[in-house]
Amino acid sequence: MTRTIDATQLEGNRPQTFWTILRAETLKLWAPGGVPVWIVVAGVLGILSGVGAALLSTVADLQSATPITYADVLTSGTIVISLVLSLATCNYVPREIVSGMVITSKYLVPRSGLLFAARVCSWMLISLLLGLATTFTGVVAAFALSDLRFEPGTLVHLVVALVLGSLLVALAHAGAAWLQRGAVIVAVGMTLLFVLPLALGVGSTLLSGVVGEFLKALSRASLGSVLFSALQVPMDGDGSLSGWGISVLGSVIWLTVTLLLALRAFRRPGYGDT
Amino acid sequence: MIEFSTVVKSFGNQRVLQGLSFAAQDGRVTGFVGPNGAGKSTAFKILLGLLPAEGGYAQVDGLPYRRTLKPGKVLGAYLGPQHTPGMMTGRSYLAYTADLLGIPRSQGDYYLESVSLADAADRRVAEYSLGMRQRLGVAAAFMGEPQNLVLDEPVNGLDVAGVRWLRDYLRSAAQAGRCVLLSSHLLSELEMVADDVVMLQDGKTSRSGSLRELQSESTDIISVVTQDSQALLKLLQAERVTAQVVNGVVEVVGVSINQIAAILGRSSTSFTSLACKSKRLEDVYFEQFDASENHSEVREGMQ
Repeated sequence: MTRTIDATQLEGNRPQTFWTILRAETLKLWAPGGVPVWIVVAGVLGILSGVGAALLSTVADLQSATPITYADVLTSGTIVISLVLSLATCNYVPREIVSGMVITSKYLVPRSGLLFAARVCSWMLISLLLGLATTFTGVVAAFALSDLRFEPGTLVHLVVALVLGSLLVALAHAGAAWLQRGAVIVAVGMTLLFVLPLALGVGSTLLSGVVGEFLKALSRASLGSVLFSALQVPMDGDGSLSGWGISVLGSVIWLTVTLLLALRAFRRPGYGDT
Repeated sequence: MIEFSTVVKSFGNQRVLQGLSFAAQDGRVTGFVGPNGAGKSTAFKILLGLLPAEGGYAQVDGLPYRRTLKPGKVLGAYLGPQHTPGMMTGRSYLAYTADLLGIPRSQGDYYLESVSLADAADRRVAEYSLGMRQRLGVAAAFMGEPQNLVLDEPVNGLDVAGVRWLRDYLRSAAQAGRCVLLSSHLLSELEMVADDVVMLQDGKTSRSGSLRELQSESTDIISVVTQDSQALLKLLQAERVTAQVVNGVVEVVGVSINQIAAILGRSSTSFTSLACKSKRLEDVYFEQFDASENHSEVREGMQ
């Protein structure tokens, strides 16, 4: 440590914009200490899922029972990726808080709202990029392994899957950032996605009258229900477009509320100080 | 310039800062000292916008830090080894810092080399020793070449070469017109680098000024080296001067060196040296805090 700093060797820095922060946050996730293994696993599983769907579509018996479409081959990977990345972000956020990383980031980026937005978007961006990569491999797999070809609605299906996949990851990140503790994140996530819709569904069948109807409505509005319904994109002539639209709207409302709660928590001055 | 103005902060019922006010000027190294729990780290966190102040304000170059668009150019901060993320490698941490501040990543490599961490750059920070974490954190604070530097106990755990490097860096930063504010419990080290000192006690500034001023405000110690210490003690007592023998040297407080020289001149006592030594920062510190403790005890006794 005998060398001293020669300031003339150093270059000046640029103003900190949203894009600067987004780039830094995205590259951080790929770097050591980020989630490179999770990203690779998500990508591999996404590709395998697309290739697997293409292979299954060649089984005639299976195809006659539950037909696999071209859109299924292209989008199955996207859904798998978003689920793996959602788990990754739920694991990563508490780890980052405990390691002191959040405090460091917050004083490097004094505008904490901008930092939070960039963090959410970095996860969405990775989900989107991986989704596009698996879409490409899905096209190749469908072309090489099956007789499936482009059909009406495929593009819509694909775009919806990519967008909803990213939103699911954003929702998971926001939830994790709001709840902060790993065990709490898992408990709340499982409850909202599976336990609550199921319990409300069972309750609505057991109870009749107004209470039963109310529980049924709650079950439909629960996070798990709206999210899984939103992922079922109706094809042309299906007639359930309005129901699907409501599910998408419900998902967006859930996401918005969670994002606002997480942003409020994140901007609190003591957030991340362990 | 870094400015605190009547900053108030409480945690529960405990008031940590009660009207903290001082300014750290450009071109100077300001030492921020006080006992554990005095509120130094809290003050730094308020400055960085990581904690809210209940009253008053803290500003960097006339603005709250949260409003700056070029944070890396305005302020570099080091808050302690607990904020250097253990899950990253040294290189990835500095790369992330560079990306956020909008500076080239090569600057991170340059600083890794400067703080002698180039060989450990690809190891996880969790595997670093305390001193290595300190060096990495300090490197991250310096990377943007900021106009203002805030360092909380940066010397802890550094080896001799590290301490010297840091001292040289901070001095050259101040000479280049930058503002340096650092806290340290190692007062002898602080004395070698600080131009100004702010003493924090009970959540407010108890004493501040240039190091020289603080030292001159304190009473000098006159030391006399003689072969017959006891004879000199008797002589000084006869002249109503309080003195004591410390390590064979007669030390006198409360009179000027001229008065002692006159007493020695009038007598036949021989001596080999007569010197006036300024008080060290540590002496000034304890003078301040001991006086306050005594004052508190008197107050408590009166109650």
